[in-house]
Amino acid sequence: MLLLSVGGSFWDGSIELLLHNGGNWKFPKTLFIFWIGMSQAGVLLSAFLLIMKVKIHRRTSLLLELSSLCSLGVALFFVLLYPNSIQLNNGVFSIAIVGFISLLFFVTHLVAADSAEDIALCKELAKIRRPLAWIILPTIFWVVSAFALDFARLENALWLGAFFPLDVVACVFYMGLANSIALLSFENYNNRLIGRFLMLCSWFMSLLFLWIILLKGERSLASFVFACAIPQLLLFEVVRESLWGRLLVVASILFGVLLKCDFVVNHNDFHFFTNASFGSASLMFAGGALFAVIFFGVRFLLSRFFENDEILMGEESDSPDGELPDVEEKKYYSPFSAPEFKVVRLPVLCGILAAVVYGYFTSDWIVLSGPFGAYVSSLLVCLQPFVHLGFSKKRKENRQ
Amino acid sequence: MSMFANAVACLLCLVFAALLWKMKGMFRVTLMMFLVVMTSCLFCAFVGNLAISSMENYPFRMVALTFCVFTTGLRENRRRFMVLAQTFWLWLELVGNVSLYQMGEDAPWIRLAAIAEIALGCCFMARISREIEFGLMVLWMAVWMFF
Repeated sequence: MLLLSVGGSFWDGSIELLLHNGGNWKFPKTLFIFWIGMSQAGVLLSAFLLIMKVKIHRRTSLLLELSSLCSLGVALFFVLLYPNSIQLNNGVFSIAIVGFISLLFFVTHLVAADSAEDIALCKELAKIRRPLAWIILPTIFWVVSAFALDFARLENALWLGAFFPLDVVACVFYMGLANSIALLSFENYNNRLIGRFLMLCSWFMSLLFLWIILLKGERSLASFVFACAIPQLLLFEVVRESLWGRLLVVASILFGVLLKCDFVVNHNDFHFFTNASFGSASLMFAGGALFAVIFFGVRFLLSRFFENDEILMGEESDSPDGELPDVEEKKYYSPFSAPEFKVVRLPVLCGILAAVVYGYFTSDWIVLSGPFGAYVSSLLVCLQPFVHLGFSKKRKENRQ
Repeated sequence: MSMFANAVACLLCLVFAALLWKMKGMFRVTLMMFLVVMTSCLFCAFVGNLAISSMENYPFRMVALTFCVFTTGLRENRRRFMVLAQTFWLWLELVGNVSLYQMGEDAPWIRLAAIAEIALGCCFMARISREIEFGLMVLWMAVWMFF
């Protein structure tokens, strides 16, 4: 598809746009927004599932986190390729911070998967998984909201208002669900719970479309059809249980969200179709191909970590793979005494302090102070297992 | 929105929460939540003036209040979900206020502070008794009605 569209771009002359874009062609910006959304989607869903104690395999979680990191790489590729079309501001640092925290989250999972025999390390890492998720989830909400508010302020005043950030967060979450189904399908897995959840979410997304029409009088019909109407096919068992059926629905959702990004950037319902060229298609497929290359490359390199059907929710698992036993979960904890709170309290306090100091000196309370606090907190949380292990080793040495 | 319509919205939230309490199973609860969001949107469209900026997130604030009341009926992890629901409400208010501020309009910062205080207070609570549940509901409704 990529080769065909690149060949076609020579035929319709859009190769000029691809090679020498002066900034008038806005499609790279649409793609940039789409891939930035994807970069938040995977880790947002992974952290959300962890916090809500949904039982998922480590494989699902790792795939989601890896897809986030790869999407960030693709977004960066578009920035480097079209610096005239995509102008960056302070918000990009907050996205970089989320990328860094996502990397920490991902590495924590990887190390835990690798150290199944080293029970001490595994236990220490299990202790910081959920605290990290507690830090990541609000940070992503903060960053995506700030990104949306900034976009509305600088690019298109139509989107100014309280609803747009909510809509963007909902889209990101929806993309995460669709993405997880696609990634699991490539692994030859089918998570029926996520499939059902995706269909339910498509109903909520339809409501958000309805609310935009009521509120702004704007409608993105093409996006609605692809992102919300076609996913209703999941109601039929034939589609739900078929690999190609699921992939079709997921592709339709992602394309629908891409159309929505195009609608948000160009403020025209059918801009994508009326201005379609082989150049646009080439760029779209190039992004997809780059994602696939990075994702499957890293997936292949790290296959020994992924091919492990361990249940991530160690607290709910009775598998003898070094996870914490179930008994702790049923226990009542008085306020501020739960194990995960004990892990997170000091780092979060330090993070809040860092955020306040940052905000005081830079007067930037909205875009970067929150992510900066989260950055400090997550770093301190990740240091804890090593500090604990270091102390326990020293104690053992002293005893001997 | 008028004081009366605001009170009706608050009452609707209580009704939604009561209905959610009766639902069992993920599918039914989510279906009910879908109906809650739809009814809130339609209520706002018919009763409120959508040209006012503060109305943009009104139905979702109703959903947040419904969640808050709903969490008082949970049997397990009640404090955790209560704090999460209030954080959701807090996020909605914060984003709403910042967007209003960007447009040069007055933002209800006191409401934001009140929700933050209640959420923080919930973190300190030990076992939540029925009296405290009732007190919390009254506090949330007071924030909804008077701030």
